[in-house]
Amino acid sequence: MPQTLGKNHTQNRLLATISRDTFSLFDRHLKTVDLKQGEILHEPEESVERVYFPESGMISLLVVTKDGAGIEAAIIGREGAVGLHRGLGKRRAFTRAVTQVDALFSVISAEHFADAVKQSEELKDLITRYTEVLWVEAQQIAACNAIHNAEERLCRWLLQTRDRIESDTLPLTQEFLSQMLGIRRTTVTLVARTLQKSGLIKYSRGSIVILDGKGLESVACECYHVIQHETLPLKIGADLPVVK
Amino acid sequence: MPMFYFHLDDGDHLWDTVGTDFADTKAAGGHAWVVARELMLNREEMSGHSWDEWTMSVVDAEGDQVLSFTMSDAQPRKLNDH
Repeated sequence: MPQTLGKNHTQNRLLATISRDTFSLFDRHLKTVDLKQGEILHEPEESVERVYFPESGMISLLVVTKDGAGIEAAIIGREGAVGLHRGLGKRRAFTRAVTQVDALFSVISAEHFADAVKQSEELKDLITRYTEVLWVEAQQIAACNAIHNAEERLCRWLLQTRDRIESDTLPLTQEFLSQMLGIRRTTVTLVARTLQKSGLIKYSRGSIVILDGKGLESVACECYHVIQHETLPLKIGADLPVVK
Repeated sequence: MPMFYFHLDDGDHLWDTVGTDFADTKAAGGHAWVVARELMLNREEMSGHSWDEWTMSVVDAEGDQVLSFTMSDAQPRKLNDH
């Protein structure tokens, strides 16, 4: 059954920063949904009908190429939202949005959210600030995908996932990672074996456990630090969990 | 379709225990080169180990090696190579 979340019960940090008065403009339309890994929230060209605020878990935004494959452009967790810009008016998606792990999301219809945004400077400002920071993150990821190697990118990706789901056990298959990073599954297997040999991770069918986060950070490219520590705090200006 | 496995060796071993099926040896070989290039791409600035001296070998389901090459042969050109 869908539930309505009160402001005090939200885990999503964007929602948590919204003032009580503003939140009451739309909170009765927020529902909690339970989504499984791999669920596609929208495809490119589709009209954005809903705004998703992760309560746990995360969503990947993928640029979809002509042959239908996707490569990651951004990762959204509890610090953000997908479809937020829809609050400013009708929008079509440019990317594919896919859930990364089984998780809970607060969802609101785009129409209801847009109605609230029309009445609130605070929400308009939130959307603008969030979109700017997402753009910075996407630029960093684009650069990373161009100039960094498979090992560095995989480490960055594992750490970004860990930080967003707040667990060292990542329910990710190598096939899924292969799609997100745009590299062959064999490449993922060989890199994962290297990392396992170095004692940084332990993987099994369907999950990867981070054993040595600091070690993984030293293998990851600097993009991890930039995204996690420099852009993330700008998104909302709120306190973030300390990364171990 | 038959299974093939893609291993890296340098005294130390990194074995692909999962494998992938391909139509034939030629297709598996092509895959090996693609994987090697993905591993070698953008490694120049990286500290730590290098794949250069490692050998990529492709092994069929019977355990017979059908292809092998040195990873340095798969080094792709950098974006700003002249």
